[in-house]
Amino acid sequence: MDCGDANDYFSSAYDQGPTLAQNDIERFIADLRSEADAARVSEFAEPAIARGSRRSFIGRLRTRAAAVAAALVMTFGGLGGVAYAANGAAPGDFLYGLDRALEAVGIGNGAGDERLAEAAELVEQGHADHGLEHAANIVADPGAQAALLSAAERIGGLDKTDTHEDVAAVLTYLSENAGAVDGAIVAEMAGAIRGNGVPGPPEGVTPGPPEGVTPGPPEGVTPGPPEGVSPGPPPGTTP
Amino acid sequence: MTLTSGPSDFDLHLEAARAGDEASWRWLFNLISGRVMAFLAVRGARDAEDVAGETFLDIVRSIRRFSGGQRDFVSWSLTIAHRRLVDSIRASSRRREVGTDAADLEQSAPNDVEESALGMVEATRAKRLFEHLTADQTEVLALRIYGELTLPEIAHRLDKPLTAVTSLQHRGLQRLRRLLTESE
Repeated sequence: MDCGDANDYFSSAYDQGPTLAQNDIERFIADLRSEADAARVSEFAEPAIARGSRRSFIGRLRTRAAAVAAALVMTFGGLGGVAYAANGAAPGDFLYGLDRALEAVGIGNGAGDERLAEAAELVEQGHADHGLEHAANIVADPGAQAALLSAAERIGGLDKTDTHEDVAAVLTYLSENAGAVDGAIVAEMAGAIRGNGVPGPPEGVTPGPPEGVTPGPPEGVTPGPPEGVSPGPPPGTTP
Repeated sequence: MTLTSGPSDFDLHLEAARAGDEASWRWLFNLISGRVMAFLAVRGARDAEDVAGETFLDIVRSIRRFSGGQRDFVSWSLTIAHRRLVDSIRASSRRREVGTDAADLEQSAPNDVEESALGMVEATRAKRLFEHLTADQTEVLALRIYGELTLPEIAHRLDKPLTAVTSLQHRGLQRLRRLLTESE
């Protein structure tokens, strides 16, 4: 018996693009599926969701790290060395003692990882310049820091693919080399970021702090997560 | 370094859900909860709400045993719904044999309350059409429609020969085609 015809009715969006319903059966099946898929999460799933979300102390740390990792991976497709990002706890919080202990043994780059995830989010939201400024806060090398900031200035509000890719490259490098960042490499990559009609520095120029500028964190800037930005699955992810 | 396509949204949500992230669980359930409810409705499940609740809990408990992509997850979830439904049918038929409770033996009223609670017009209509098919035919077609299982997968699931499930699908679709034409 040839069941090929019958099987065609059941092909789905996963197999190929949406097909024109050719007859009653196909339309019938397609309508049933799309109706079910459009339904809100059933109230009868709430207990299960609560069960799935209840997590142990260690589980909560992992969730934080997973969210940070997820933000990085989703933007750049690459990831290295992210462990527990258990910061954000203040003295007196239950997690505070463990935060410090983890940092002391060098597990996770703590603030660095979270800062990078936030920078990635900013880039993803179309604010590559702010992302670079944010990333500049975690770079120790003054030359690299200045190069990142001047790249931010150079790209302004630009959000072209080239720019996006160049910025992504820098952030990926920073995440993959946490703890062993080569300032010269960062400065070079920052200099190569293609900006608003202004090409990166011409060959032969060594990136470095502009004359008259004292390297160091910009005045009035306290390193810390910008308000309203939290690592996690990027906004707008639709099922 | 260039942007790569990397893991899919599904892969990331699956991993986060495993780690206990509530938003990711909601994302995963958004994929399948409607399908599970509709599946149980078209199969005429009596205690659809209870079976659905048990299905969803089972999915959470078993998530570490799952591997695969989004499509696999949909199929997997619907096979769990199928198994919980089978358990529920066995349990209620056992109760009827023992004759414990007269209330169990009553035919439940045409499920007006359940149907409006379900809120799915097409599924409700399909349920009425499927009442004209045999239970075996409905079993195969519901898994095909909502779980998107292949016939070999269904044969394995139901522990039936492939020829049998193919025939059930074929006869079920013939019946449906006639019913759909008649109802228009």
